Amino acid sequence: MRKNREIKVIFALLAVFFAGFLAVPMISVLVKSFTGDGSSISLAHYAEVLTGRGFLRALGNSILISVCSAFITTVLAFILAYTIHYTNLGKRYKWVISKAAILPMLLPTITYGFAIIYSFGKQGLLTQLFGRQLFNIYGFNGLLLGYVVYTLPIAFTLINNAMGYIDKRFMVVSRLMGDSPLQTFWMTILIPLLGTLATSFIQTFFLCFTDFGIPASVGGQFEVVASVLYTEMLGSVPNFGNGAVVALVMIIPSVVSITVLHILEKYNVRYNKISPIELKKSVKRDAAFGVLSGVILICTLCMFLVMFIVPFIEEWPYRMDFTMEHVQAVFEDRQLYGVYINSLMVAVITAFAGTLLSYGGALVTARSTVSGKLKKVIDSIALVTNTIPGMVIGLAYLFVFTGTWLQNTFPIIIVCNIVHFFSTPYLMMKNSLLKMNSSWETTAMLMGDNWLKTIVRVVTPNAVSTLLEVFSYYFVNAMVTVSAVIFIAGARTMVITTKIKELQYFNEFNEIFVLSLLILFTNLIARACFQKLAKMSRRKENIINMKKGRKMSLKRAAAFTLAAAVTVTGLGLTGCGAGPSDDQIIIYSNADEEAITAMENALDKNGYEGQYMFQTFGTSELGGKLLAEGKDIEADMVTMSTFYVESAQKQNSMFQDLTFDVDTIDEFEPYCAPITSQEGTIIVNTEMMKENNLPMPASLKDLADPVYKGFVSVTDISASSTAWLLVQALVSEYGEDGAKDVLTGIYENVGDHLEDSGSAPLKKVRAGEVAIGFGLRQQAVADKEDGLPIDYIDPAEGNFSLTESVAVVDKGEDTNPLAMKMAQCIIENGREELQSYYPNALYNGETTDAVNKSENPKVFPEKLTVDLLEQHQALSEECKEAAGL
Amino acid sequence: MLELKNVKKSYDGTPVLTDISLSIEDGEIVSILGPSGCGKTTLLNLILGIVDSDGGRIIFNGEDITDVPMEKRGFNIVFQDYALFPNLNVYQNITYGLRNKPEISSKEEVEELISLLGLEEHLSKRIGQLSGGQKQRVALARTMVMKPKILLLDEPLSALDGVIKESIKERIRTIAREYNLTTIIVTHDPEEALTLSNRVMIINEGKIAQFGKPAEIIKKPENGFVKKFILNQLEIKKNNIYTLFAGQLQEQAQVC
Repeated sequence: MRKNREIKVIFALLAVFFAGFLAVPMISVLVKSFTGDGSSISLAHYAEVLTGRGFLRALGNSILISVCSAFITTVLAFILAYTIHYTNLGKRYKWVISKAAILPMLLPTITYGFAIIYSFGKQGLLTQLFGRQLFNIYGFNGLLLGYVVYTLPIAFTLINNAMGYIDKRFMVVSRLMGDSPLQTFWMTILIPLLGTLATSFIQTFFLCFTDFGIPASVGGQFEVVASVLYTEMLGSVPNFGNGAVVALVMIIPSVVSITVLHILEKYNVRYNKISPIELKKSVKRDAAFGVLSGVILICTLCMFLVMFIVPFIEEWPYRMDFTMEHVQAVFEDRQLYGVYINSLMVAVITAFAGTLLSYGGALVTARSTVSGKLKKVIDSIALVTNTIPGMVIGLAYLFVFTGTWLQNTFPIIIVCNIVHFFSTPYLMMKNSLLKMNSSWETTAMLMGDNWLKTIVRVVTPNAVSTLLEVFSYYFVNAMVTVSAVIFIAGARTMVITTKIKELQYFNEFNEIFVLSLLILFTNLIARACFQKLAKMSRRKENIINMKKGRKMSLKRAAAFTLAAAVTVTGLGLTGCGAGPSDDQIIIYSNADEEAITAMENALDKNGYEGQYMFQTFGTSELGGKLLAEGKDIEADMVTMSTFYVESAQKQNSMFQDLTFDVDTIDEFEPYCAPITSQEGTIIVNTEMMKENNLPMPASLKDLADPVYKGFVSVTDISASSTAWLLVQALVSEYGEDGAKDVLTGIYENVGDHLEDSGSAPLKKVRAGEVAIGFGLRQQAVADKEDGLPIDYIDPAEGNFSLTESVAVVDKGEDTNPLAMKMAQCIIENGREELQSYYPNALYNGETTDAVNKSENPKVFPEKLTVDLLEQHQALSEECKEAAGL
Repeated sequence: MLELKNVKKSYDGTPVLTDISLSIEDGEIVSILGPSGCGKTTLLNLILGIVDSDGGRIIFNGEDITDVPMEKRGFNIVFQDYALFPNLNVYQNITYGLRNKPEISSKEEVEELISLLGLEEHLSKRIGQLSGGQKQRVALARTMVMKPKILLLDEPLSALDGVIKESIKERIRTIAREYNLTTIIVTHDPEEALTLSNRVMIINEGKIAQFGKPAEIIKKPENGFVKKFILNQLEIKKNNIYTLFAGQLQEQAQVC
């Protein structure tokens, strides 16, 4: 058949694209699950993960919470859509509902967790308004709330769209046949929607199942698969083999969903025409649904209220004066303009390419007569992309594209976004095309159009509003996504969400909220534009005798949008944004803000200003990158926890020996020079201690006292190296067995406040969530100096420390000699300022400042290695088990 | 007897029907005939009760039903696209209403209807497997099972081809006769209207242009519209037929 030639070309293009950017990366994950980091094939990783403590429980938790969230979300979304389509409420109210329901979609999920903590936490905005905490936000409740809010816009969009295509005249028939209202509802609304409701359920299920952002902040001890995956892949000792296994286990449900959707397909009702009818007048129904929808939306949105307040407050919740300081600080950040332009450009190109791709796919499945097998391939691709978490795609790309020209480039980020979000746009497109009259192509072809002309002249003009919706969907999601991009964005290709993630490590909530607001407003403006265009095109689709003027204005508006997009793209590609140029030295670092500032000062004062660029990461993320990418890493220089530098060198031989003198007190490897030494200490919130009449602890052992139950927060050593400082202290003081007893006692007190991020306990102490935490000493010192109700107690067991070192990446011929000079400059000129924040002496000739000196600095008797860390992690796991976590 | 008294309807200020008054006797087949957009579908919806009138009264057998909701009026309709439930098979569609009112038709009555409409062999088929004429008959059966007091048909023949058209026409007439059922048909085809019904109501621009027996309309068209749009069409058709059968007619004439 002649007609199918073009369709087959489209199919081939799609197939090649997804083979290269979906199948190959996923196969590499599969391979990794058998080989791990070595090359021998074994089932060891499967055995380790599947028999491992907690994994099956986490899987059960994930399924439970995802099913609950998906069910609730689908019901709520249905109520909202029903209010819009089946009540006689005012147009304006309906407009508000349809806008408000999708609002949360315009924000990144990282923001959600913080919004929940700052709204419903012990010191949260809503908690203060109501005078008491409404519910415990950690664990099931917090997750459920986060997930429902997160997925509501997607479920609503799906159901709302499909409801618009139901032939309402069937309601008349049903009523005439004597059906009760309930039967009418069942026959004429629920049955035609079954397919969509199932799709919505499955969509939301997987969004919940695969999201990491929300459990990261409010998961507490309710462990889900996504957090296990994160710990395996980006814990302090990444195990890609185990991670790959977890990732594959996460994909199993996708097979189930394909089957379910296939079974439900026959319920997809196809109406010949959509006839609007006057709805029965019913004040009761209208009032009930109007109020219900209002309550749903108010509950959803009040969570975000805090975002508009906290950034304008000096220090929530202790100094409640209005200030513009935080907002100004964000806009004065010199990197911000470039990052913002990058985000915009990525979003626009993603939207263009993604819309084309999903349109192509939908044309194959919805408007062609090619064999069902080909159609099923595309349907399956869509489902698979939907079920593969962004994190997994990102990591798979890391495995496959590291070392190729695509590494850390904009194209790979864009491709990643397109693949990651393919499913929903495709389904939207397909639904819309399916519901168009099926004889258009034949009609147009009989009029002498070829296939392409038919698509351009008939199908596309009638699909413009959906195309614009798809465009807008891709744009918004590309703006808010972080999970996939975090692994593949480089220093030169930073986007705004990775910037937020970076800020997360510095606990910069104000900046996070300001940037979130920036994303929100960008998305709001973009959506408003697309909607205006879609409305105009819809009018065009409906009005037969359209005036010429309106047609022109639609075309002009479309042309304007296109031109704007091209300009933005051009700006980004030619590097007019503030992104770094190619010959700049890229420095990857896990250091804190103070250390970065100190290093920048040293470099700037010595003539290197503008010749380098810092990119900061969490310790475990940078660790993962070092181990996974080796010499292919984007960075020229790295500052990182010393033991990580050492194990990365052991595995990848990726660093050069330093060419300058490193005169340290303790001995260091020839390729690294220490920049800071960080100590752990006990941190308390003095107000919380007073309020709850808690005795001041003097040692870590004291934290095991049941009097502190529910008031303590520490970090999990399997996720963050900060917790190692605690475990080192316990093991060196009490021996392994004694340490186990104390740690078990501490874990029993900690409960839900066992954290994955090193700075999280301090964060919780600061927010008044707990009274006591274990964290980095210099951060507590700074808080205390800032006048916060924070104090610190150096534990009797001693202040243990971890060093961070600078190392220069060996890139063979491409090595930039400047990197070595800068490393030397940092060590020779930066130490003075660095030492003012991290007071321990590292080099001969330095002394530790008496005022800042911790009371009891100690060093672990054994050399710190990744092996030792793994031993201590095993010890901690035993204690967790004993404490019933 | 169905009576409409000064019924009006407008949408967003645009009048669609202005001051319609009429009465229809029991057992009569009445066609509402007019061009697209003349308001005939709105009139049908008003009688059925999907839309409320802006003024005037609707009276059925002496009872004012203007404010009686659709499902309580006891009328029923077959839509142009039949609106059969695609998730149910033919038999389930036909007996759909019996789930709610099992007493309304006996098993024998249903079987009689099925055989009257010739649907025995299709009962277990899905809706998608049926032809247009078969769908029409299923929809008719589904509606008839409910024993409507008035049967409304929205363009019942326009989607059907010639031979089927005649057979459905016949079945509609049979049903009206057998059940002494008042039947109101909306159509835009003058031939259909004038050959199927006892009386024809021609509507133009929201007003009744003429309401009378087919023979009266042919003989005494009351205004220019009826003449120009209704009779002209028939005249052309007639001439076409005459031309086609010219030879035959001549033979007949010679025989006489």
